[in-house]
Amino acid sequence: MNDATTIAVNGLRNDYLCSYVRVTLQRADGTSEIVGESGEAENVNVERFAFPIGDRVRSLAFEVVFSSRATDADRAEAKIFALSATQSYESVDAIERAFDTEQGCILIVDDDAATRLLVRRVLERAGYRVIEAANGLLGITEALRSLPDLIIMDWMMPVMDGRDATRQLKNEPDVQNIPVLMLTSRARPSDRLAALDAGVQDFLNKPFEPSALVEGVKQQLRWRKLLSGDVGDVAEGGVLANDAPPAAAGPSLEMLISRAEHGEERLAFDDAARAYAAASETAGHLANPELANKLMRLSGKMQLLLAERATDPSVIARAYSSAARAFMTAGNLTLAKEAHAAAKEADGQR
Amino acid sequence: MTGDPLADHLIAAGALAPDDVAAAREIQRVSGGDLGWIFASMGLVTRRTLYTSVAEVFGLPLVEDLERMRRNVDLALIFEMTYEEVIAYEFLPFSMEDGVLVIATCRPKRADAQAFARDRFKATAIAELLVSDLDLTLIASRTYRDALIDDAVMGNDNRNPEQSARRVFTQRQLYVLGGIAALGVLWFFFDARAVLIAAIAFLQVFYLISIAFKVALSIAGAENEIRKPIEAHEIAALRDVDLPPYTVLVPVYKEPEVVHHLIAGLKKIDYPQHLLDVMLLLEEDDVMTLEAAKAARPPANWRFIVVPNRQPRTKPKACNYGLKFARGEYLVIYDAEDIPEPTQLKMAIVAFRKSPSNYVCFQAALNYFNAEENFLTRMFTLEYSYWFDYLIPGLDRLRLPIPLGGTSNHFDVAKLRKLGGWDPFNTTEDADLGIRASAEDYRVGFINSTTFEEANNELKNWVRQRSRWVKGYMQTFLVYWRSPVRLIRTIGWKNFFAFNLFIGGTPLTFLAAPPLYFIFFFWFVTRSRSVELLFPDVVLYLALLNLLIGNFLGIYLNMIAVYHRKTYSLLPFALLNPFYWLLHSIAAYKALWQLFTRPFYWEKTNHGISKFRPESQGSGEKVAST
Repeated sequence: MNDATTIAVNGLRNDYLCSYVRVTLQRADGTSEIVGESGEAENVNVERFAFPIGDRVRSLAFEVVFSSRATDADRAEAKIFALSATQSYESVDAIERAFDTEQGCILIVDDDAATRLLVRRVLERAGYRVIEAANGLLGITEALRSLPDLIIMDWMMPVMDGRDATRQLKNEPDVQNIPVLMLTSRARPSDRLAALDAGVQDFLNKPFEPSALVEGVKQQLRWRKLLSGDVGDVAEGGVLANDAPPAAAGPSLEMLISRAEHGEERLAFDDAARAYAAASETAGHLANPELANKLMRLSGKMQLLLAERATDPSVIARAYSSAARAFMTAGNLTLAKEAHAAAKEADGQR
Repeated sequence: MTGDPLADHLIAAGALAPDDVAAAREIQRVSGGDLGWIFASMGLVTRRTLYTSVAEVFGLPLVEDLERMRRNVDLALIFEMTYEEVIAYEFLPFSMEDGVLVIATCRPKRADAQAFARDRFKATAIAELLVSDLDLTLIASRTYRDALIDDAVMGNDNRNPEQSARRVFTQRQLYVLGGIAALGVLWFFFDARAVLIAAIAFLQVFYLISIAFKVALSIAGAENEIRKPIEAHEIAALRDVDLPPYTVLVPVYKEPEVVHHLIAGLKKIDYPQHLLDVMLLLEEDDVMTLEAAKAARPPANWRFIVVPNRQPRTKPKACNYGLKFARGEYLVIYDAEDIPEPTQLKMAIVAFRKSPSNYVCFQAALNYFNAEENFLTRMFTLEYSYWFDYLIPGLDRLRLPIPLGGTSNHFDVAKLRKLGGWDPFNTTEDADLGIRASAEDYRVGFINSTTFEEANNELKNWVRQRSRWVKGYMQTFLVYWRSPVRLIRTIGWKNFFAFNLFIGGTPLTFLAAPPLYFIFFFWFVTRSRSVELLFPDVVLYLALLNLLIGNFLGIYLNMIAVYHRKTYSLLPFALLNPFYWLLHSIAAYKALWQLFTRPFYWEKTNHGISKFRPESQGSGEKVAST
């Protein structure tokens, strides 16, 4: 291990790469120290961060929040730089992690610059990358160009309002899967229904609580992850039914179901099956038992279809056995028994 | 140190004070039972604390996430058990290896359950995992969901389709009714006057008989006043040790605000809390009420049972579903706003114990706490006072079939299960069950305890409720007229007669009243000779008798009711009964229309709209002496 090396975080391409940087040292004795930190939401000149580090340093972590003008090339470059700057240290993982704290790219579409700035501050602090657009039409262009993970949409805007923009987005194959959260002060049920009809997934009330904004974004992204087959930690474990009601909410699950149902046409077949399976994993912990049950039944049905399409006996056996379990979970023991028997039979042929 | 390992553990953990333990000990000494369960039922510890401690004290692994466990359960084992067995023995099989059966149970070391498990699964040893009773209920209800709800909906129909209101009319009934209608039309064509005279004469005779019947019932019922069926000293003589577990079913729908009242209300009941098995029956789409109920954090003897969403959406369906999970030896149904007199459960037990074994149910009297709110609630209170203080006791005394009221009916659970529960397709499932019980040689009795309810204080709401009741009477009437000969053979002429007057007569009275009133006023105003044509002398005298004496008696009998409960301020309102009866007629026509258009539609009565809060009334104490 080098002693008394100076790390200079420099050489990056331009001043606008990052909006926030913090560099933390982790010492071998377990303590840590912030050795450099930029102000928030400034355009950071990273050259400011030149500092000496002593030996006995276990790892070095960069937390970098990129500015809206950072391109993918910027990001890649920054990562390479950071890796090279710290290659002599044990835990390169820490650096990887530092860059992975960027949890997703969020597009905020709002005509009010102050709102955009506020949303940006809140979300960037929570580790998201934020891009902006000032009306519905620009929002669509930006969405198509940069394919964000989530769009936060104002309703009332000049040129094109948020509802129309959402409707158009939902007709574009490239972006129709991106969840849209509507940020609005309109609370009348009829308004909300109209927005849901346009394809909005959920609502955030204006004015918003920063924590509610982050929570809403987090939840939508979790569902999205789930649908892509990457089963995350959606399930809220450890529930004694009377003591701790599960936190998952109903409307988002409706969305999940409808998407899984669309998935049958749009996604590859086993992707859909996987989405159902993932959903049924989650379903047991949902507050809305009817929706949970519906999901589990769908999951069972998908597995049955999968079993019927497959040719490999081991795949067939597995699919039937998953179906049996899904039907049992859904409370249909008649179908579960049939699927269980079919799984046994397929197992026998193997 | 208390000497009880669980109590010591809870004290050490800071969950209980030694005084709490002493109080619980005292309850245990008087009424028996499990000490841990008594703590939880008193609300001293939460379910979670209780089960966590039990797991630690007895060295059992606690399954906190039963749903996750269920995903790994051996399916073949689940298929071996029915939901009745899971509920009765309180365990779910999990896995089986080398003869060792692993089960998840909320009652570890339960001997009969272990014996059953050994026998059923040919197991040599049993390993137990601990789950909370609520989780077990939840998971059983999820795993056996379809079977449970199928049985709750179709159980009665499968058991005896003849007695199910799922079909409104049978083929034969349609032929017969069609035939009668065709004959009537034909006859009308030849001799219209004769048909009308016959119809009027029939109605007049019917009215006369039903008035006489009511007078007879009232006289019989009034004798009850003198001869108290159950005395206070009989209740006092009950020892807590002899009290069985008692289930309280409370079906609710979209009433999140009632849960707190309910908890407070049921705490006032004179019965050891740990022997009360309170089941809140919630509809699956009613997340709001479920959340409110959870947030109210009731003691551990409360369970929330979520009824799967399936048509028909009726209270009897929910009750059937709840009945599957009932732990009590006896069971009572209350509405969320009900305020029963504190000793009611004990009184029911005394009644069951001193009656012959064919008694399946005891109905308590219903009355209203918001009588003085407006015209409608006053009339309703008068009507109910008369109904429950005179007519029902009269039926009881003459040993006629008693149509049950929707709440405060106390059942013997085993017999209720044998009877097949309620008919979810009948909108007065209670009245139907009363008749079915007597058709199967069971008896329904009456106890002199009162439950105070909220009277409908809004016209529209009142019509909805009343039309539902009248529709249910029509359904019930049609069901038992499918094979009248058999009915007569099983219940006898006397009961058959009473059934027709009570169940068939009620809708008919209200349907026929408006045309007859109309004819009278038409004649009164125009003195038209055409009316006289329809009333030959005999019919005319009969009609006059009914008009004068009938209406007078109707009002008079209603007035008597006031004396029983000493609510004299209601007295003048009895005079307004004819207007109230007109409302009945409106509801009856609505019911007739719905019988054909939406027979199973449950016109939900809105509760909790009265400005009178139960607490502000004298409630139970006011008539504690009845």
